[in-house]
Amino acid sequence: MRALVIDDSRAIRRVIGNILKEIGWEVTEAVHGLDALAQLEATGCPDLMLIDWNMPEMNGLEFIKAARALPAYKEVPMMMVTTETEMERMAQAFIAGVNEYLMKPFDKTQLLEKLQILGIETGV
Amino acid sequence: MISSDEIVAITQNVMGTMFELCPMTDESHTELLEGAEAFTGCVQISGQWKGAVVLQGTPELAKIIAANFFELTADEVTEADIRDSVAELTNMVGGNIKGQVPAPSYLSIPSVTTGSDFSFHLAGASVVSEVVVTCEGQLMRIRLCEADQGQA
Repeated sequence: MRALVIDDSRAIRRVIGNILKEIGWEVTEAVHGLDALAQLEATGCPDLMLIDWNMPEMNGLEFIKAARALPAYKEVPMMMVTTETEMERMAQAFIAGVNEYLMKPFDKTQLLEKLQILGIETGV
Repeated sequence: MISSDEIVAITQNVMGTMFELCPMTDESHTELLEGAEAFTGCVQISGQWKGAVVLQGTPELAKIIAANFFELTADEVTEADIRDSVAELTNMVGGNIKGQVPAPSYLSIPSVTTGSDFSFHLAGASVVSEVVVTCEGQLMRIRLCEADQGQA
């Protein structure tokens, strides 16, 4: 199983990546939406995408809309991981196509709970 | 307007959840940050509410945060680790404060400055709230700045 973590923060990519690796996932990283689209084209569809909202070049919401518009990525589970806490933003993300929404700050337990909601076996 | 207590609560939530650190309000040593070597993280808010959230703290605290984020010892932490960690801390505190100001508002990408003998001034804005916390014996100041009337 492979996850693509899309966040301009190296620190957050590391935190999420370490948690996913602990439960046996392979993790690849992208630093913004455009980078993620390029990686999708190069490496194919991952089993999960975790996406920050505020990023340079292409933000998370723009990325989700672009990826969901492509047939290959219509079904892949997507989770927004963001500091955007307003209900309106959350609604925008779900309308764009995310399956789950995790607000920063988060801890390991909260991330694993969200993965379980997505039907992902975490071993916890 | 967001209160000082709410800023402290947000900071405690971010640092407690992400770093297992417990910052506590401390108004007795603010002068120690003046002119000393420090980190400054800044994120701007635009939209219905205009301003910025500015974090300033000691280099030692920045090392502790970076070590925690990257699962390193303090000796292993690099300048890049510190910049990235302070940027994300600023992003999370600023983002959660943004959730308390009038919507719709938008968060900028965070900026980080490190060093000493510099002053930080946000043009066209005034400090409307300020708290100082102590964490692991180190100081950090969180300032909420609001754009002055007439500023874009």
